[in-house]
Amino acid sequence: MKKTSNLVTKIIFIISFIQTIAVYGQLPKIDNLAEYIWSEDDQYAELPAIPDKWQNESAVVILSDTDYYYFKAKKALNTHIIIRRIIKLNDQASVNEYSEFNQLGQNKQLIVKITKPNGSINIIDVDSEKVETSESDGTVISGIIYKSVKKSKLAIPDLEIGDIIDYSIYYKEREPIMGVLEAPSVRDVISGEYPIMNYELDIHSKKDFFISIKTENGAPQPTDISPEKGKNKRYSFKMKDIEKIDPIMWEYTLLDAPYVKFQIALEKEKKTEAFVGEEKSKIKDNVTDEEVLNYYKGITVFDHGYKGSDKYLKDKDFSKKERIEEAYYYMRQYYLNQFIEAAVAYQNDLTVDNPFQFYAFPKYITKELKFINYYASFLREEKIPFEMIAAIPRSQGKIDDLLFPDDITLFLKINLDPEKPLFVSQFGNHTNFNYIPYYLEGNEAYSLETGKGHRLETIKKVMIPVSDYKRNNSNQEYDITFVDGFEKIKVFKKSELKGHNKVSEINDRLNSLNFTEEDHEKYNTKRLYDRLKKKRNKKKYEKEFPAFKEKIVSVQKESYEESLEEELDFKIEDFSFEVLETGRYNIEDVLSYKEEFLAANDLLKRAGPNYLFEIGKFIGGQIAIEEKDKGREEDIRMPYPRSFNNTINLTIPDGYEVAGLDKLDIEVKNETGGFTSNHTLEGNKLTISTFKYYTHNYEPNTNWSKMLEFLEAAYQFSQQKILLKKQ
Amino acid sequence: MISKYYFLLLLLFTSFIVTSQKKFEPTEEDILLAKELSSSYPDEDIALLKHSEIIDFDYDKKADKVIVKNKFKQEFINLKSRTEIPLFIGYDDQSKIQDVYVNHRNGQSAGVRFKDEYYNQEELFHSDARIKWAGLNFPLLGYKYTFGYKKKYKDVKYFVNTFLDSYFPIVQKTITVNIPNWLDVEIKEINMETISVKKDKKEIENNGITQYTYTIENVEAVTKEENSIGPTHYRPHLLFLAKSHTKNDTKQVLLNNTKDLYKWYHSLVLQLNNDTESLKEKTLSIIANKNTDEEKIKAIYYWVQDNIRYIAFEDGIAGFKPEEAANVYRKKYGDCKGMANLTKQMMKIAGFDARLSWIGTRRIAYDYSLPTIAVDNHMICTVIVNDQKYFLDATEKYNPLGTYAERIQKKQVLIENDEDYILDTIPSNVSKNNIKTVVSSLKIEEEKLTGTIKRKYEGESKTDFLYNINNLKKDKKNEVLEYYIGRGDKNLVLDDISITDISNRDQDLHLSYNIIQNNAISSFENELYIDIDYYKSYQQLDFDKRKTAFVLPYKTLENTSTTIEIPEGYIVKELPENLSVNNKDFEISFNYKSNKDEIIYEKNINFKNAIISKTELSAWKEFHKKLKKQYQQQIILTKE
Repeated sequence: MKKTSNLVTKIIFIISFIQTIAVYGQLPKIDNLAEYIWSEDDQYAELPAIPDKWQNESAVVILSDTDYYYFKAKKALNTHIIIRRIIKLNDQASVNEYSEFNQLGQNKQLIVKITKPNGSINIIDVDSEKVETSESDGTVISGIIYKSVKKSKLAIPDLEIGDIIDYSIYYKEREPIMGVLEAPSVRDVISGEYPIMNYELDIHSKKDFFISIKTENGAPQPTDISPEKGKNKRYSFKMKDIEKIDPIMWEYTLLDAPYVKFQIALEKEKKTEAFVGEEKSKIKDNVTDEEVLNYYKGITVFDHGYKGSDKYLKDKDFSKKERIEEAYYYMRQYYLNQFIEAAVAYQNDLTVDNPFQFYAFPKYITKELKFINYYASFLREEKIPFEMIAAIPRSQGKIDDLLFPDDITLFLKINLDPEKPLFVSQFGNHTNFNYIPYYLEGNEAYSLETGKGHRLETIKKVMIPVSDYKRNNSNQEYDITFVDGFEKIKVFKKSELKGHNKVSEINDRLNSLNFTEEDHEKYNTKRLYDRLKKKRNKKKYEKEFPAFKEKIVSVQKESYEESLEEELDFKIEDFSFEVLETGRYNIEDVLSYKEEFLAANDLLKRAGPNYLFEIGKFIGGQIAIEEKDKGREEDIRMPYPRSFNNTINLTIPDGYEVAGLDKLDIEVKNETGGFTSNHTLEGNKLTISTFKYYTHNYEPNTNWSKMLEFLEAAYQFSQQKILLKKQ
Repeated sequence: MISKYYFLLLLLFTSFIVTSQKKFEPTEEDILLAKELSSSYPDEDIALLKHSEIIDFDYDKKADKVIVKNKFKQEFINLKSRTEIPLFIGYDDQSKIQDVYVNHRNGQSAGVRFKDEYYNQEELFHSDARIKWAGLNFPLLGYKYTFGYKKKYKDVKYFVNTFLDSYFPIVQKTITVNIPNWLDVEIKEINMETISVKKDKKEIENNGITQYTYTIENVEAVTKEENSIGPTHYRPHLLFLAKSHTKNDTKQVLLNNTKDLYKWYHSLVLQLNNDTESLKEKTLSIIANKNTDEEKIKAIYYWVQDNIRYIAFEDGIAGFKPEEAANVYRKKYGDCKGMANLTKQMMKIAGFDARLSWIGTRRIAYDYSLPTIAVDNHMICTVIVNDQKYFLDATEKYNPLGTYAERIQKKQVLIENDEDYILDTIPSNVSKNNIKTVVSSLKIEEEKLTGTIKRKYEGESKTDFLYNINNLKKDKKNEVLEYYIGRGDKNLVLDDISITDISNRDQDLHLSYNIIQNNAISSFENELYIDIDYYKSYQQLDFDKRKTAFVLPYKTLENTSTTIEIPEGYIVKELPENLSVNNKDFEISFNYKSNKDEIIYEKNINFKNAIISKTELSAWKEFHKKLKKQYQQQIILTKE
């Protein structure tokens, strides 16, 4: 009932909001967007000439201007955005890019003006040129009829190479949410796929709002251009002459490209999910240690009285370390995985009644902070010292650049043995104890500790350790035999994955059904089926669940088959797949699975009575660095240190001998990584072992040539052939 | 980033419908039937047990139109453990959908809700086509649903055909056509030889109705294949030609012959006001300094190709009526009709006899002997100079004057001629005119092949190349050209790429470059193994499971000649055997020869008709096996 009334309030609120839009001072009326943008004092009424150096670009952005308007309405913070772009279109590709505008709606207004090379101006009558594209017919969900939404799209008339398009879009960022006191944080990367002559960004705030702003990588500092009188506050960013950027491999845009980030908050209260400055309308451009501490003091509760795992741990003869580890896995089951069956049943209509009603008081943890609160409370009860680590992803910069709480990922460092700390981060379906998400590794972070009480009291900076490449390992073993003469090959493949390599694949390799059983068994939790009491539910589930399972398994098999074909780059048939070990209860355990298939022998080339076999293809597609990328100027930022073992066992067919093995022995190693391979031949069994590894997650640009050495060696190996010579 | 949860939506609501499941669950017989059908159609998830379609004609007095009521009822059965399928019903401004239902096997409603939306197709910017759609879930093997609806056409003209087969295998289907005696409708049975059909005709007394019934049983599902020929070419269907009616004792002609069809088309053209004042200045400036008729025609034709963007609109009557030329000129975009009309009006300003012309592309199997709006789907402009006709299709970019896109070649064209019409045929091209020639002169350097490659593109191979390259970003052109040639393969290192004027569609296109091809040679002991054919063209054209004809974009002829210098101290030990094939649709040859200095490899591939017909599919399959083996063959050189 509550939900419905909230929604009704929201609808009424939106209606009143639309009617009163013109009231808020600085904000232009939607109807008058053209007048507002192309006003008499428009600086771009006359357009500047394009610099010679950019004449050969696909397009040149003459102006990239974005205005954020913030205002308070009914205790909520509203954001309206007006963007304006003026772009010279130099080729057909850019004309195509800007020739159509989609997704126009009632709350998204568009104006477009075209300036021809001869200077003539054509203002597009958007209303008469647009066509309707889709509308929802008033779908009914849970008794509430959603209003139909009409959308339209526009093909820009008379747009040609050499034209300058000047357009502006005005829209609401999101519906205001009652009680949410901060606007979503903004990160505006200045450089893009076309060069920019003039960049402008304006924040239209109020003197009684809090504001934090920081600019990075050479982006301009804000200028306060607020009017002296009145409540309005305005900050402006201007930059000129910005070259385009092309995306490259192993690079994080936010570490190199100039960008502006900011956030507006309405009030300074505990529940504001923003770091708020001391003084209203004074720019906050950094977050102090104390502020971080106070922020988390306000939202963490480490005396939760958590008793969740007591029953499970009771009477078990665990060491301290085992106890906290077991408690983690138990919580994963209790607060998350035991509901998987219900979620699957609910989504796929496998029970008559809502399956969640069969769990007395379903308590689940999907929020990071809730997990931290629960687990830290448990550690406190166990009297085990710990730190709470607040970190930001490496791809988003350094902890000193922190400005928004929503950039932070939390995890716990457990100091049972201070020499060998253990790490715990929020659980997912298959996560392990003593694990740090890869994207945080190698970044500096805050460490917060409690004092004698349960409150956080101290804060310091610490370095998050980087995992070892040996720990993040994939080990694949192929057994290959020729069948039907040389027509086909039969392949048996076994894969074992550890560390981050395991994490990156485990969600794909396990489905929601092949792990629930092992969890129920281990923790003695009740299966959904056993919770169903009514005959109608039991009967339906009994029949439909196996059918559903069969479907999932067959769909998954198809997708593995496709991904293997992609990896090996040839077609396979008679494919089978089986998970051997899930590796879900210990970080050191491997996820292992086996695959078997037949392949038409596309890897074989005939040479008279002999055959060339492209054996190198079995180490999978290797990174091919093209000539032009060899002169890379950027540092190399990779996800994590990692390593790959491959073993290829080939049975040499009777009557043949093998040549060209000397080319299979390679060793290239340096501090950035390496590629080694070697072979043994015993009887008719040829075994080739390769090992490729990346030592670090980061290399300075000066090490690029060293990386190229082993990347090149691995690539060359992948091109290697052996000769099967008729005896 | 890794998704942590299988479930994010943990909404708790309790409005589940309480019903007895048993009434919906499949019976033992249904399960047996599903298993049986599954063994007959192992690749299919769903079968149509019964499908009935009833077609009735009526007269709408108020609108003075013959209307059509089309009633469908389909009974589905699930052949797999669990299946979800989309149900959709298409309609547009000329039709209406009523009484849609989906029922369980016991007749009780399954509570399926349909959404109603514009049907957005990628190739169409805007059309009046809409769909009602819903997802249907079959939770168990043998589960059944019945799906039905009525579709009403406001004018018989828009009711053109109905297909007998379906995208699901059919156990039994009947189409019943009730033709009242006041209506003259001809039913054309097309591609019926591909299927076994039981036909029945009977007079229904007192009602003045002749009833035709078509019944089919145990028919495979239509295969969905890429590069397929249009469905009217091969799917069995009924084409309805509503010729006249005698309601109210007076005979009223509908579409009795081609002239009637033309009359209607022409009446739409006559509605245009053709105020072309705004085009005059531009047109005259385009033809200024052009002396001959051909130069002027070419100038206008190329201008429209280059300056009007093709954006497809199919909106009600606008699907048949061209846009005013002045509007197309102002907007610089239009659909085929708009572009044809602009071409016509500009040509007229330039003093030419220019006419709109209707045409069905090769996707459509019909010709103008059939008076139906289904006969055409495209419009071009015909310019008549003395006795010569220039057919101008400005939707084809980079198309030189006098050449025609494959899709309209050999197709009939219905040309405007006041009250009458002229019927003509677009000339056909031969693959020789589209030739792509690749000449490589290579040397062996360690495990590499190095040398120069010269390519030449003519006809449609050139048009295709020009279109693609001119739509690339200007600053990336070289990079992408390199990628296009090298396919992003690190083994190919290209250098010194030169290309002739890519804005000139009247010249052949020449492309040349130096190449280093790494890992092309394998050396073992005293021997060198050369993989001479890098691109291995058409190796991927695997028709193992293909059932329908394969359509190529144009008649393709590729001649490649590769010469490799034999390094000093080596002699040729073995060359692959020659290979050739020649049939109705393709002629392909691989030839290898050598002398003491060089090896010459020539490959000629000719798809003569821009299609591998259904009858030639087995020939291709057989050849393709040889082709794959051929590409595996290495040239062997040995030390003297």
